[in-house]
Amino acid sequence: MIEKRTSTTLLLVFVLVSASTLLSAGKDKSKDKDKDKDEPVTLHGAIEDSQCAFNVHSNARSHEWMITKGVEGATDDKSCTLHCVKNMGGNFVLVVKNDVYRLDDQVLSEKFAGLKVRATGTVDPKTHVLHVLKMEEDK
Amino acid sequence: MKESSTACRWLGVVAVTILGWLVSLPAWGQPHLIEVLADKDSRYKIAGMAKPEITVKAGEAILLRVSARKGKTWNRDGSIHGFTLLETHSRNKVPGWDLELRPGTQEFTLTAPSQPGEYEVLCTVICSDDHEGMRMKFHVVPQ
Repeated sequence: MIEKRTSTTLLLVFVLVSASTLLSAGKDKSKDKDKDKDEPVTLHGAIEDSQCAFNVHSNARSHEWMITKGVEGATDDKSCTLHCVKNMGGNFVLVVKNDVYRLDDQVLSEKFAGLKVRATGTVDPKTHVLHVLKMEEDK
Repeated sequence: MKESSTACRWLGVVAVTILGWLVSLPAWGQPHLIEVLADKDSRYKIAGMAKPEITVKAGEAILLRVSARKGKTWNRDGSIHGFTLLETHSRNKVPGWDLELRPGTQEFTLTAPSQPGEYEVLCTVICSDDHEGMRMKFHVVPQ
């Protein structure tokens, strides 16, 4: 009878310890997730216009297409980017390989139109917007 | 007795007139409905207009219903055309009027610019070789 009671108590203690361990692990994971979201990241890419960057063709090909077609004011990457944003209603975006980030600071981005940059900021995973903290030319 | 019945008759006439006026007001209290087709040939089209243009009153509520048909190219996120409003001379964007269109019909509840003047609707998705020509005049007249 005493043995049975002891084993039941031990089982209860085991279940409680396991449950609390699992709960605290879950908490840490969600903390890490929040940390990831707010942690600034540094991305290396180019400042392009949203039209060319989001096109189903690669952004480089879109620039090429615009320039070859002789679109007024689009003679190289920089002028094409500025033309598409200033005259055609586009936005400055950051292109990192096949990934395109929308940028919250359009004024700062304009200074780097068509250039390769190193941009530091936090990324909103839902909207894929980079909240820019710092941007400099990546030479 | 006669005076009061005449007054009642007049009151009735006035009431019916006011009611008739209210009923005859086009879509009174309703937003201004604008229906546009963003077509596969990279052109905006409005039924009954050879050269589509939009005219709205400054600050009025608008219900924009756009049907979009896929052109030769589109965006990686699935947008096939754009509908962005710019002030013609300054090229400044009108806040809230930077729309991306998916295939099919979609509705947007918008407010017309508060400043009367000349504006332009532009497509912001490279939709074909003729994408740069996908634009339409947009007039804002005083209230």
